[in-house]
Amino acid sequence: MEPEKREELQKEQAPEETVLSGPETMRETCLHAISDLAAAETWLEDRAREGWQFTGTRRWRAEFRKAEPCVCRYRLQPLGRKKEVLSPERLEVYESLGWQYVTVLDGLFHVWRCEDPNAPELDTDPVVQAEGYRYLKRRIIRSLAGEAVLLVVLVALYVWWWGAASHTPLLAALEKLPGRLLLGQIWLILVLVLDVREALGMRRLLRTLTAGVPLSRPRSYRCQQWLQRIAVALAFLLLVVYPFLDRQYSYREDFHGWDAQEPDGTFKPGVVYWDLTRTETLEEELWFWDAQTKFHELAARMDYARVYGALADHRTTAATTTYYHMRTEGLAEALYKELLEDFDGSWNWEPVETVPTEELDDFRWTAWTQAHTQEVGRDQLRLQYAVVRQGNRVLAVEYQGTADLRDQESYLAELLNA
Amino acid sequence: MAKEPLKVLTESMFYVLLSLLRGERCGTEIVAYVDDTTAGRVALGPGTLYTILAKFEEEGLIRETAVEGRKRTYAITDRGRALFRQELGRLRLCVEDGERESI
Repeated sequence: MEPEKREELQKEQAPEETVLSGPETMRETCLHAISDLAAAETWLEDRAREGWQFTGTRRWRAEFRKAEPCVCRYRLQPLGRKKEVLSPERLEVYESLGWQYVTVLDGLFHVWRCEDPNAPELDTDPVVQAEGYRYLKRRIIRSLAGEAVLLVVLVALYVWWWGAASHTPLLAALEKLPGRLLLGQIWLILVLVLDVREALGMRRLLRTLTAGVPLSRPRSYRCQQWLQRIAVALAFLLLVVYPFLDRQYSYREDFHGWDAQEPDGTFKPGVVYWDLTRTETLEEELWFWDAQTKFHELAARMDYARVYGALADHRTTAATTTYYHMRTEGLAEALYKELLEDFDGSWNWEPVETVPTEELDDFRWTAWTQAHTQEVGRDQLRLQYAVVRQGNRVLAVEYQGTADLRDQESYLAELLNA
Repeated sequence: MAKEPLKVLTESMFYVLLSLLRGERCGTEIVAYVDDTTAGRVALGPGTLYTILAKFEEEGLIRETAVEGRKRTYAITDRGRALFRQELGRLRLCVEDGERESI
C-alpha cells in the first residue's frame, strides 16, 4: 500500500480525539474525604448531573469534562496496597457488571462509574467492604505517628532554641516568638488535627461497616467542602503571614513584633513609652523613633519603644522601654530576674542596686560606671538601666538623660499601670 | 485493621467458598453461580467479590490455579474446605435451634 493511502486509512480508523479546552473542562478542589466516601461519591454524581464528567485529578484538583448531564453512580474503592494495579480480569468483570474504571483519586481510591441503573452495587457486603480498608487504615496510622514524632522533635528543638541555648530562656522566648518555629508548629498542629479527625472518622466508618450497616447515600458534602475551604484558606493565610512576620524584625533584632507607629510617626494608642518631656526640659519636640508591639502565649502584651529628645545644651537624651504584661505573676518574677542577668556588675555597669519602693513590688537600678561614661565621650550622658515589677507587669528602661531614674518611682508605677 | 483470621463467614463469603467446592472457577463464573444458586437473593457486587478473593487468598482458603489471558481461575484449598464445613455446622446448629424454638 502506498504511504499516502496508508496514512489516510490510519486517519480514518483512528478514534476521534476530543479537544478539551476552555469551557469544555472544569477543575475543582478535590473533596478530600477519606472517611466519608459517600460524600465524595455524591459530589461526583452531582457534577455528572450538572453535565461535568469526572476524568481524573491533577495534584489536589479534580478535572471534569463537559458532557451530557446524566444520572450515574460513582463508587470509590480503597487501594489494597501502595500503587495497586488492577488486574485485567478484574477490570473485565467490573465492566461486564456495568462498572467502568475512571482513575485513582488522591493515590488512595479507585474510582468507578456506572450509568446502568440495573447494575449491581459495587460493594454488596458491608463487612467485606470494611475488610478492604486495612491498607488505608495502616496508612493513616503511620501518617499520624510520623506527624506526632515530627511535632515532638520540633517542640524539643523549640525548647532547646530558647531554653538550653540561652542563659535567659524566658526573655529569649518572649523576644524571639512568634517566629519560625512557632509558625512551623501551627502548620503541623493543623495537619495533625485534620488527620486525627480523619482517623476518628475512619474508625466510625469501620465500626458502621463491620456492624453490617451499609453506607447511606446520597450524603451531603457541603459541610465537608466548607471545612476544606477553611483549612486551605488558613494554610494560605499562614503562608502569607509567615514571610510578612519575618520582615518585622528590622527595628530591633530580637523583639520580632509588629510596627506600632502611626503614619505621622507618633506611637499608637496604648503603647507604653517613656515621655521624656516628663523628666527632661527638651529644646524641641519629642522624637518618636520606633515602637513595636506584640502578644504571646506567655505575655498578653509587650511593647518596645524608643524616644529621643534634644536638651538645651544640644546633648541627646533617650529612653528605650520594654514593657511586658505577663500571663502570671510567677512568670513576671522570673522575667524580672532575667532582665537583670547581664547587668549585675558585668561589663561597664555598676552593681545592681535595690531601690526602696512603696508603689512597686520590685525596683532595681544600675548605670554605666563613671569611668566608662567618660571613656565613651565627654558629651555623653550616663546610661541608666532600671527594671521594675508590679504584679504580673514588668518594665525595663534604658535611660540616657539628666534625671535619676531612682527618683522616678511614681512615673514608673504610672507606666506599669497604664 | 488488625490482620485477623476469619472465624465466621458472611453470607457472600459463604457463597464464594460454596461456588468453588465442586470445581475451579473464575470471577465471572463465581458471580453467575451465586446468582443462579440463590436465585438473585444474594447479590455479589464486583467490589465485594474481589475483596473476598484477596482475603481468601491471603488466608490460604483458596489459591489461584491458572491464568489464561485475562482469566484467572481459583480453587478451594483444604483449609478452605475445613472452614466451609465449620461454617456449615454452625449454620445447621442455628437452624436447628431456630426450628426447635419456633415449633
